Amino acid sequence: MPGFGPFDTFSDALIAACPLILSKPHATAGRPGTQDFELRWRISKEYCAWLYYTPAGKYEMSMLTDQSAQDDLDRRRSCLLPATVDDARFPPGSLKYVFALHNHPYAGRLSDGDLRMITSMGRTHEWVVQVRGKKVPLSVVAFFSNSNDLEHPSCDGFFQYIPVTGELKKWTGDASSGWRQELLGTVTWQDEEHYRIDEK
Amino acid sequence: MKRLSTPLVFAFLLASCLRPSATLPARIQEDPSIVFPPFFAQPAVLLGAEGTVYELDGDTLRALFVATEDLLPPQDKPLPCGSRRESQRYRVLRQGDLFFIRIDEDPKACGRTQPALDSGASYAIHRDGRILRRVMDGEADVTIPGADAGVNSTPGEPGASSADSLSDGPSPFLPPAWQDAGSPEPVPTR
Repeated sequence: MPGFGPFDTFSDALIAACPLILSKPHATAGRPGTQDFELRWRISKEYCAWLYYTPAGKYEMSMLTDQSAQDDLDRRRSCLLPATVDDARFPPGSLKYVFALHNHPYAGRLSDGDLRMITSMGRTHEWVVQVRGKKVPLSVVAFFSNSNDLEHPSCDGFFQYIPVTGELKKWTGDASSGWRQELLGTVTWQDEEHYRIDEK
Repeated sequence: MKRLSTPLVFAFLLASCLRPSATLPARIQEDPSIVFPPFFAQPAVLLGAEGTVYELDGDTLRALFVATEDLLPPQDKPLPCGSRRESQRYRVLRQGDLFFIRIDEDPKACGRTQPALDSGASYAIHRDGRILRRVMDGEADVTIPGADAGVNSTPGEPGASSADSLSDGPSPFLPPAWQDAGSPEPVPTR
């Protein structure tokens, strides 16, 4: 994506992607309980993109999309992430897919749909990629803001699911105070349809 | 807090059994004490096998009707594939007077392999047709205990897996068939 990165580490790329995505129009719905929350939810949008590793040794983000397969009057707010990224600078098949990024307009955990989506992508791409001799697992990330300032929402953290380790995590923090993680549970899949979540 | 006992689960495509475009507004009486069951923790009884007679009671049908009318746009106009009734998959679990309903977009119905992010919703419908709870994918579920507690958090590199969680062998959290060393599934064309 023009103007974004590239980054040497996925952590730097994630921290940069969070405010960028949340600052898109209607990416946050604010806090529930406010008088017009229902309307805010109705006009909210989800944006999604791939964070990928290139043959040049950098992390990059694909173009953001807000495409959905649903009608505007559908109550759901979803995002249709293409399976692959077309980056003309690199040969097809040379990109390594690491993070499926999106926002949750209201700070909800990763959904059943998110879990199914990333395991489906894992069967298309790789569960773990090797980056400079280190293993980086495929995961899905949902950024959120706790702010009621819809014009300039703060990046307050993200939820993450890593299929190969089963981990469901919540990350909170910022550059000044540092980032902290909380393990919310683990997900164990039996087959394409069925899985168990063990809450911590 | 309401608890679930042994559930009976149905999953089926609700293709054409509902009339288009109801005009009655959904009656909503939020009851935050209702906790959704794990809809995908066990196999479901799949309806729709050819040549088999199924019977569906009226309360179940009404609950499905209420949920779909609330979630989906009116069906009497051209719609994107993902918002059509026939493009969803439905799971129903009854517990006393409550129907727990899970609705997910079916990507195959729309010619795709991968589901969209946050393309589902959960409902709790009373037998009398009232919506007692609804949670869209991505919307915070206020009933999840400790969702915002953060008391057990530890410092870490944002986005990194736990140091000891990436082993060399196959993952115990994924089916072995998904981790075969062969070629990945082909990337679908868009």
